Amino acid sequence: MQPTVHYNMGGVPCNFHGEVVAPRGGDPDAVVPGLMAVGEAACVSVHGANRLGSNSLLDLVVFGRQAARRCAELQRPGMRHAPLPGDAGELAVSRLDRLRNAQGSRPTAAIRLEMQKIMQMDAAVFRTGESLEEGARKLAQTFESFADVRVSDRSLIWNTDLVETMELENLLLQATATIQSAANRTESRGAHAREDFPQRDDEHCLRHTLVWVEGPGRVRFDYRPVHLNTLTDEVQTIPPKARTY
Amino acid sequence: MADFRLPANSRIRQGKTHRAPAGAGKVRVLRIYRFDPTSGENPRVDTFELDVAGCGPMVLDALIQIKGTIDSSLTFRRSCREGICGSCAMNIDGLNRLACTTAMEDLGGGDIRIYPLPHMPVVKDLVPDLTNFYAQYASVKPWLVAQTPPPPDGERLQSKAEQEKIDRPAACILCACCSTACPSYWWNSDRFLGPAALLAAYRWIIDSRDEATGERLDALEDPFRLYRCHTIMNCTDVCPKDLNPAKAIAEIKRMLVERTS
Ligand SMILES: Cc1cc2nc3c(=O)[nH]c(=O)nc-3n(C[C@H](O)[C@H](O)[C@H](O)COP(=O)(O)OP(=O)(O)OC[C@H]3O[C@@H](n4cnc5c(N)ncnc54)[C@H](O)[C@@H]3O)c2cc1C
Ligand code: SF4
Ligand code: SF4
Ligand code: FES
Repeated sequence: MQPTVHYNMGGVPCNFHGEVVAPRGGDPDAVVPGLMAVGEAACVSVHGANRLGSNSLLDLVVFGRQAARRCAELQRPGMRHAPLPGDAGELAVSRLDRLRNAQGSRPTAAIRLEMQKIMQMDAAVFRTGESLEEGARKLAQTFESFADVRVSDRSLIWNTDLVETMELENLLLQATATIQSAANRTESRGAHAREDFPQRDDEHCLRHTLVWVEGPGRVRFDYRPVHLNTLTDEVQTIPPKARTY
Repeated sequence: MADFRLPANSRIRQGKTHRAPAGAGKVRVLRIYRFDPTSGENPRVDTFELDVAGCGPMVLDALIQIKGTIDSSLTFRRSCREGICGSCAMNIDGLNRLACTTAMEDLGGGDIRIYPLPHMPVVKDLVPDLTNFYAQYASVKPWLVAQTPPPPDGERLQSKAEQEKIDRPAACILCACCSTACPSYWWNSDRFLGPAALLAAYRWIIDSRDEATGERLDALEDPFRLYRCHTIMNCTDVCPKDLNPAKAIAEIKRMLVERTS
């Protein structure tokens, strides 16, 4: 028996309308107009650092509906899209082409297995700075080797070899974000259990990590404050405290 | 004279054989149907001698191992690998089942023969075209239909007994094992809805909250949509979730008889 992934905490930062936010000009909650996310992909941050059982479906239903309402509020029939640049779609098509014709020496499954082993070993449920640093280093090498990936199915019909390869590239980015952010968070909070930092550190770490993955092993961090107050005064705000059960 | 041979471009050729590496431990032989829609060639059956030491116990584990280490172009649907998404339904040693819940051990020691779900157009290798199957499912309106608005302060509630009635039929994972095992569906899938869609229809007919029971029954009162079922029971035999579509169909027939008498 071994643990498997049940849910990915974190995600695309969103407000409670489902609108994506990205800090801009000193505003940590600046909206990215027209971009929305809901469900497991999003981080409205109702779950704190540990999503409790059954709350993800709740999250989907509540914020899915909220996002639809927001769209209805913002969009008017006949509204025009912003003009697209002439080469829109170029990036997606060139990515597809590059991977479909990839003739390297490493099969997708071999790179994927290596990534899985690193994450299972070094970004496990209980982690230490040492294991995370070690894992981040190995993962960067594995990610580098993706440049040498090999796809053998070149067809355009139900090409799962190609789809798995595209998914692998996404997963390498996600794994990099996950392990590097975990190494960077020197505390234990919710599901992030560091054996070398067993305590929660509200003084330094009560904040969201924002991470940009710029390439294998290359990340940039920024932070957003956590919303700690409810939107109404119907209930009193409960400050965070240690989980003792 | 009737011609009982397969059409020329459906005849299956002998495919490639991938031998086990020298010094392989325990070897299982898998004979897998392959069809490449872009090649213009007939389907073939490839033989894979797989070293199963280090491979998981299920047929899906073997397929993933083959895709990962021998032939990455092998194409099949899969997602949850725990019998809940319904993606990996295929014909394994002559029976429709889920690759992820079928243990190789339970298939005896001989060659394992894997084909796509029978009598469906094949998109590629083990991937059948399920467009019609899904359209039939949609045609039974598998959602709550009610004119009465929900109570202003809550949900539409059900008693425990009412919930238990739909509990099993609602557990269908739409794998299509049943419909593609049904001879009536093979001959008349253009007009007979098949056991999976009919089980879904039944699930909503008996739902205590649904108010469209009459319309739902009307829609099924048809010599083909419902009555092509001749109680052959293949559907119930193969269902990997131990559901009983044949009984649901019999129940719908009974309800139709009862409402006219
Ligand atoms: C085993 C398991 C048990 C769980 N049990 C519970 C539970 O009991 N209670 C609970 O609250 N939560 C539970 N969860 C978590 C919950 O199920 C998920 O968080 C939730 O279903 C996520 O829903 P979603 O719509 O955000 O994403 P998903 O359901 O993952 O949907 C994403 C969709 O996007 C599609 N997609 C992906 N890429 C593309 C693309 N490029 N183009 C188009 N489409 C694409 C996918 O096919 C998929 O349909 C469980 C999770 C697991 C794994
Ligand atoms: S019982 Fe009806 S639906 Fe089921 S296999 Fe037989 S004919 Fe098909
Ligand atoms: S009734 Fe059973 S066999 Fe048929 S689609 Fe549902 S789960 Fe699959
Ligand atoms: S992979 Fe989901 S049912 Fe087999």
